[in-house]
Amino acid sequence: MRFAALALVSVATTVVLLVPAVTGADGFPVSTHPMYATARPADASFISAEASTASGTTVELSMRQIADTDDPLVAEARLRRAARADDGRAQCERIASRVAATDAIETIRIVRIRAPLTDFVRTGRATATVDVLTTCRLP
Amino acid sequence: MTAATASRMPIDWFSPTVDSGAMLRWSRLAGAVMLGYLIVRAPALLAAPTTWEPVGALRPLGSPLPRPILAIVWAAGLLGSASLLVGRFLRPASLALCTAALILFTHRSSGGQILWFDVLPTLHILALAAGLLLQPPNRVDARLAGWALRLASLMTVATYVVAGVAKLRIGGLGWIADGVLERHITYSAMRLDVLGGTASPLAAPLVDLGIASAPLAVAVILIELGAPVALVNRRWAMAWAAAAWLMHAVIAATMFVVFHWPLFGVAFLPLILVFADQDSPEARRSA
Repeated sequence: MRFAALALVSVATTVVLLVPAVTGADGFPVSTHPMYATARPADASFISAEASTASGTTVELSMRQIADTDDPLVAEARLRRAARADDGRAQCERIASRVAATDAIETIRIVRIRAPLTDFVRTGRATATVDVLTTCRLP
Repeated sequence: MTAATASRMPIDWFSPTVDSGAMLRWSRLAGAVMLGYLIVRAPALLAAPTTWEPVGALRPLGSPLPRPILAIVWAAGLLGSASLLVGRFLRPASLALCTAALILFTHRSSGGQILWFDVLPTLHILALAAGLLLQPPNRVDARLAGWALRLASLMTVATYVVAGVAKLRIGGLGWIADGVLERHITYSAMRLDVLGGTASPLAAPLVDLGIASAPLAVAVILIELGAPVALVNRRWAMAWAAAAWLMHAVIAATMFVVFHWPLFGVAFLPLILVFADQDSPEARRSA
């Protein structure tokens, strides 16, 4: 009797875990596991941030400085959400507050970086187009 | 019964016994990997999300949990996983770790991005806790241990199948034919580069070799949709686990995305253990 109940738990759990494959409803910890499932265009566009010194030299920032995380998935989601919410100015100031202790940096720029993916991977930023969305000064 | 015969025996769903050490071996490995993960990911797990889109069990919460609560839960998880690692106080340890994993990982996935690599660890810790909490005091019930390991095996298989279905449901056959996987590899590399990280040096050579498109994509779909073969017998379980591990190793090497649960073998160990008793000397003697 007890084992029959446990077997039922196993069957029910398996069914619950398989249901998102049909419904497409993602959640946690019952998920559709859509990692790498979406088709991606040949060109990619990212919101990011960079800094510049008083002399105008561009300085690359760390992921922690840009998005207060070390997870690229989280960083990407945070920056895109801020851009969608037209929160660029506040986002810029948050980044500025995180790099305030760093010497020589004077301004932060929120940028959109676009490039053909394979070209970017082969040659780096040389092939990328960078649009400045917002600029702010360090406090 | 020879070892070769035993490795081809089908899984026994109706008398789910395992040898007495199997549950302990899995709980030790799960405890070790979870301990390392909780320590390494502590800053992320204890941070307050900048956005709050609650999922799962935390859906009723209107705001993130206070940091002191998270710290207490994290500490409980740390103690729980350490206890599992050393094989002491298994029942309270599994309860503590199960609660901590469910809260911490759901909380982290409520920050606007579901983190899929936390899903299987959470499910497995739930199965492990159920298997340990239901045990009678001071002895291991082989049927209960066998049930928990079979449940964990079903969880592993189900999550991989769902992941495979998602690729075909969202991307269609184009996911295989149109180089979607190659784009994900290059996308991950570019994302790391522009967001202040370091991209894998293997991404460009893999693209240049041209194997990141169709051949790898076919392999990924076969591994994910083919996960149920791991339930056939030990030989298939070992073969599938090796293929799935290799897939995660390639992902880690080319995208720097580490699925720690499969890479450290915790995801696959239950599949191996449920067949292990069938290949044990005792089983061979009794056959």
